[in-house]
Amino acid sequence: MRRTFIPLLLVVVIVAASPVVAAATKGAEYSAVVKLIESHYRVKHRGIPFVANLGVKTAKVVSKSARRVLRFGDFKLALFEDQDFSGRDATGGDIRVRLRQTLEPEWHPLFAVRLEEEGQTYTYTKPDGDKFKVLIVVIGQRDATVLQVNLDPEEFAKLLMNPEQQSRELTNEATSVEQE
Amino acid sequence: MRTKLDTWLKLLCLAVALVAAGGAAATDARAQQQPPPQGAARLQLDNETSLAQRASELIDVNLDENLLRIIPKRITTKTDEGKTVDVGSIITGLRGVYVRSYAFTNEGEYNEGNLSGVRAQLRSPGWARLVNIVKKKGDDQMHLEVYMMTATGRIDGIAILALEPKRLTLVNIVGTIDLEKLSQLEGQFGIPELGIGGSGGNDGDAKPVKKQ
Repeated sequence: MRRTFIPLLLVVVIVAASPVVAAATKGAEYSAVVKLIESHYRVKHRGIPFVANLGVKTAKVVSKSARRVLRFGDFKLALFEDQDFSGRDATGGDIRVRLRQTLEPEWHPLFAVRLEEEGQTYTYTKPDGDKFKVLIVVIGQRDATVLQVNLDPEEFAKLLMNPEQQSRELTNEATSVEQE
Repeated sequence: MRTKLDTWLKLLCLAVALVAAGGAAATDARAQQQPPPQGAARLQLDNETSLAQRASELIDVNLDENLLRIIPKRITTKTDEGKTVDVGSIITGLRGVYVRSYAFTNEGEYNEGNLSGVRAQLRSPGWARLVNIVKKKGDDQMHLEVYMMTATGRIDGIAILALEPKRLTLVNIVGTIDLEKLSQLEGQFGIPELGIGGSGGNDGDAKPVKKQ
């Protein structure tokens, strides 16, 4: 009895663990992008761990802009502040190409812009049930942001109609939490 | 001992099969999210990766049919000049909007050779050049070409090539579109202001040199 129980237990554990493994790899692209920025430009990011727990903070802590961010649901943010992003090819290759290699085909490349004065913005999307995951990478001369949010169809439509402006607005909105 | 090993092996195979089945289902779900083929009106614009690397500035927009479907059909927006645009009616029938725009520091950093891939596609059956405007006066030199795909007897797609000394812009709109509303798409969906239909850029110096 015991002999058959142990293998059966093993089977149950393996099968039960597979969704856990899948869930763990679900947010892998965001982490991969943060690591890519770090290796490409040789910089270090600063995460904002308290943001993930905003929902359980007391009301007085949740400021106006923080409440706006809460609507994003699955919210991930990495900041790179006061570091050098001027070298386009610090480790060789184009960051745009490396982002594509990291994220596609799982993520759809909605928008990419590289402007001399305003820096670079890369926006990727992926359907997520009745919402849409949006991954936005903004790289300036001295700062960078990697943001992942969930948008409802109405907000996502706004992003589609004006991807450049909306990508920057979403990033500004998300990063303004830190200043509260 | 042998029996015990067999049991273990069988159970291990079962476990692997179950996990593999789960993975296969996930892969299948991902495959179903891939956009469907969009026909000949969809141009391949990504052959010129060297242009993207050489360009000092670039804009790259990819709006496929799945994404366009999400935009509400009754939606309006305002231009920078405050004019209301009925976006919903314009995008009805669209199956894709793709933009590539490269700006260069100096003149001569791209040439006709960089466009050979796109031009070869535009020579395929169904495509016809609708507009060819060359503007050589002043600082705003531009060569603007608008192509139309009419393989099925209706407009199935549009291609716009805007060649300036320091900028190259390629726009591919897939699906049926009212030509009169084409200019209203400028400034929407990341499509730059190209002066199509006199909405900007052309100040009267532009000369249509050839129409097919």
